[in-house]
Amino acid sequence: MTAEHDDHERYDGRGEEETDALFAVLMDEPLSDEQRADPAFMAEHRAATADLALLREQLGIIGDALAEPPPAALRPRPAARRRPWQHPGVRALGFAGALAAAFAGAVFGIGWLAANGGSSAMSNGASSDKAADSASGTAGQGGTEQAAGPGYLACARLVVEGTVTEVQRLPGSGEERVTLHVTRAYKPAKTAKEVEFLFEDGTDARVRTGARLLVGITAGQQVPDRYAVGESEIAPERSWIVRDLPESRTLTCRK
Amino acid sequence: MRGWVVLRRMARRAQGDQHGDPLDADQERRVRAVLALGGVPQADLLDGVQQVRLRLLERAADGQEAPRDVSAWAAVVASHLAMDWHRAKRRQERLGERLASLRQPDHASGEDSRLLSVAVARGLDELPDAQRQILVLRFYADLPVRGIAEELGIPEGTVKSRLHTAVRALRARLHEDEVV
Repeated sequence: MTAEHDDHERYDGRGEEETDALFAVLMDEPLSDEQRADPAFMAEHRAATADLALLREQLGIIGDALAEPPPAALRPRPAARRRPWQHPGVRALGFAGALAAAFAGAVFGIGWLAANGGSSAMSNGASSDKAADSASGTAGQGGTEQAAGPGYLACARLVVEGTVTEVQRLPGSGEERVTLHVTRAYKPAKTAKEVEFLFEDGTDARVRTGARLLVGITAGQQVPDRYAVGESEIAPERSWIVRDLPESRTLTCRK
Repeated sequence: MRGWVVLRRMARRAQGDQHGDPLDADQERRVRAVLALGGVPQADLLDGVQQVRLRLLERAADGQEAPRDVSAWAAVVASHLAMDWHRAKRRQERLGERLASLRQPDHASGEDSRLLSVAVARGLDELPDAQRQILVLRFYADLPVRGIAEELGIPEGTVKSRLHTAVRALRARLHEDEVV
C-alpha cells in the first residue's frame, strides 16, 4: 500500500455529502441535533446499528465455527483387515451380492460398489460412476494411498456421505453390508441414490441404521479405507474434501 | 506451508524452553478465528498459531517488552499471517464454501441462521484482503480504529475508509440476497 494510495483511500465520511449514518455508527460518532431531527437519517442510523450488531455477531459465529479444531481424524481400517475378498466365503457372497445388486441397481438405482471392486464390474445403477472415474483418469489405476488431501481424492474411486439405511450382517463372512442413502457425492460428482459396501463385522458399532456416514474408497480397493461417523467427525473431513477436490481433479493418481 | 512447518518446530522448541505457553486458551482461540476469517484453511491454522507464539517469544528473546494487550497484538499478527498466506499460495480459501460444508441444521431456525452465516461468509469472500483484514480486526478482535491504524502503520483515514467501504458492500450484498 503506497502513501499515495493511502491518501486516496482516506475518508472521513464527510465530503460533498453530510456524514452518512453508517459512518456515524461505525465511528460511534455523537449525533448532531440536526441529524436527530431528521427521521430518514435516524431510520438509517438504526438500521446501520442493527446491521453492525448482526455483523459483529456473525463474525463471532463464523470465526468460531471455522476455527474449531477438527475432531478425531478418520479412522483407517487396519491394513490386515482390508482384504476380505481373499476369504473364499466372502468372495462367494460378494459374487452373489453383485448379481443381486445388479438387479436391484437396474430397478432402484442402487450401486453395488463393494462387490464390484471399482470400475471393473459396476452394476447398471453405478455405470455413470464408472464413466466419471474413467474420464478423470484416476479410477482403476491403483495408486499410492495417501492419508488425506488432493492426493487421496485423486486416487479415490468413491467419496460420498449420507445416511445409513441398512446394515446387514452376512452370515459366516464376518462382514456387514452397509447401504448408504447418498446425500452428497464428492467423487464421482454423481452417484446412485444408494450405494452399498462392506465393513468388517464389528468395525464400528456406530455404523448402524440412521447414522450419518462419510466413506472413501481408494481405486482398486474393495472396502472403505476411510470413514467418519456423525456430523462432528464428518464436518472437518467434508471441509478438506470440498477444499481439495478441485485440485485433486488436476492430479493423476500414480502407482 | 513448508516454512510454517519449520517455524512450528521452532516454536515448539521455544515453548519447551519457556515452561509455559505465551498464549492462553482464549487468545489461541481468537488467533485461530482471525486466521480462519482471513482465509487460512483449517489444516494450516495450527501452524499459524505457532507462528504467532514464535513471534511473541522472539519479542521476549530480543528484550522487548511484552505487548500491552497480547490478544490485540496476536490478532494483528494473525491478520498479517493470513494476508501473507494468500500471497504465498496465490489463492484464497472460500469461507462461504467452507462454512456451508461445516454445518447442517437440524431444524428450521437453524437453517435460517446457517443461511445468514453462509451469506455473510460469502460476502467476506468478496472483499479485498485489506478490507477484510480491517473488518475482522475491528469487529471480531474488537480493536479500535486508532489501534488498527497504529498496528498496521496506516493512517486512521485509511482504516475508516476501508471499514466503511467493506461494511457498505457487505450490507448491500446481504440486503440484495434478502437474508437481512
